[in-house]
Amino acid sequence: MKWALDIGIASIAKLGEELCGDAVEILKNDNSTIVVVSDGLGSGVKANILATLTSKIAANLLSKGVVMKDVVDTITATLPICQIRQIAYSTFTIVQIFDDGQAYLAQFDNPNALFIRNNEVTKVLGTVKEVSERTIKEKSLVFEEGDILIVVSDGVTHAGIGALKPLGLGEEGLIELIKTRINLTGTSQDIAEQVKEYCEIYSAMEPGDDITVVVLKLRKPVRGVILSGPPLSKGEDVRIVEEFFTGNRRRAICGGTTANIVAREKNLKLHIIPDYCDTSLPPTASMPGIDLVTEGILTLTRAVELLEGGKLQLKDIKNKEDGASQLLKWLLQCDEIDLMVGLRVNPAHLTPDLPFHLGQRSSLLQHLRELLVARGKKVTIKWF
Amino acid sequence: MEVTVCVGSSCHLKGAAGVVKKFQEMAEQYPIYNINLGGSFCQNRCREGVIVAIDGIIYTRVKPEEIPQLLEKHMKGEQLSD
Repeated sequence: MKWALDIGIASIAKLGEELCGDAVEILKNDNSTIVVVSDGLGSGVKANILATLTSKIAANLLSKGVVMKDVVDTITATLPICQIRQIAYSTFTIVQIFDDGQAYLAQFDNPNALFIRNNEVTKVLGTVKEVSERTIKEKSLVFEEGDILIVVSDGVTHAGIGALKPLGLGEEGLIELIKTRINLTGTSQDIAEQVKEYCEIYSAMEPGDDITVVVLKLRKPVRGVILSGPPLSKGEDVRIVEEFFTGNRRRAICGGTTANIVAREKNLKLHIIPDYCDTSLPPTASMPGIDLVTEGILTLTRAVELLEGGKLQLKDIKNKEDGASQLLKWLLQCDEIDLMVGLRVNPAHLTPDLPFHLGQRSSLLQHLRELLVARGKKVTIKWF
Repeated sequence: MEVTVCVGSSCHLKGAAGVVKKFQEMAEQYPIYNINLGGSFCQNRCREGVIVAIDGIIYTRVKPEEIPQLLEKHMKGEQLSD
């Protein structure tokens, strides 16, 4: 992986609607990431169905190498026809970014995407092309480190109509907002949320349309390594700890005994403050040179449970300080994760008097790996 | 008085959080004990948790309700367990 794509999504439904009529689909394959933003006709359930169908069809077909014309034909032929307007319609913006920074952009009826390099904001206009009687704008781009692409639904450019921006924010207004009010050094999620919040303010907190902001930022991949569990053979302690400290990676330890071993071998101070933010999980600890030290099985089990739904986002755990939330924040910030898993089992953990099965580290870490891969992380696992 | 409570997996399941809470309360109520509370990970005596070390002396199977008595006896130099 040469580059990593940091993706941020923020959206809000039109006032009075439970469902957002915009949909965002992200699909990763071996060498690229496809992001589709679609805005369905109308609002509420109907719009949501149209937008979801559009984004899912587009992302899946494109990832399988189907050409643009066939993708548009399939979408047109598949979408249900609106009874009121007698048309099947939803807008879309498709972005495919390859690991080497090459990118392809196709836009249909959405506001122009914005490209930001060195704080210079430009509209991505693209070449106009007729595809199946629809006017599509296509553009090829080459991303460099730090480049940002912002894709929005028209709820953003229309924000403020009838409220603080009588004619709506507009594309020029959005560019001005980004130049003057948005901190572009933050994560993609931070940027997306900032833009969305301004749109809500312009609408006097009563958005008249679904608002969606998607931010894509290219950056160097963040590498991390987790050491969890002591090695089967005690003689391996030194070698494993040395290996853990190799390479330019972020480091975390999940396991009390593991932390004790690292502290002993490296002569580092392990500091545990017994303050509980959540009494159902053991507290975390600190050690110089290590980002995070947590207890093992219970913390990992909770982290896996939280990841299992597939819906967890960084903002859901942003303000939580328990071990599992801290571990998840750490994991979600990494792009490439090496899991170093020791298989020595503490015999006392296998006794039936405990209300929880503590001897399941290997299956737990294997499951964690699968969940992280499903989130687009590159994960290796090493047993010892 | 240096009090270290094991907060590893096994001691956690056996109620380490309650033990920590009780020591925190005792530290507040009885400044005379001069309790300096800390934590540790596994002390390799998981079967006997919750493990607490007071000034280096290990106490096993510690329960929150027994802590006032434990502190009193520790002050008098008596050892409760082991």
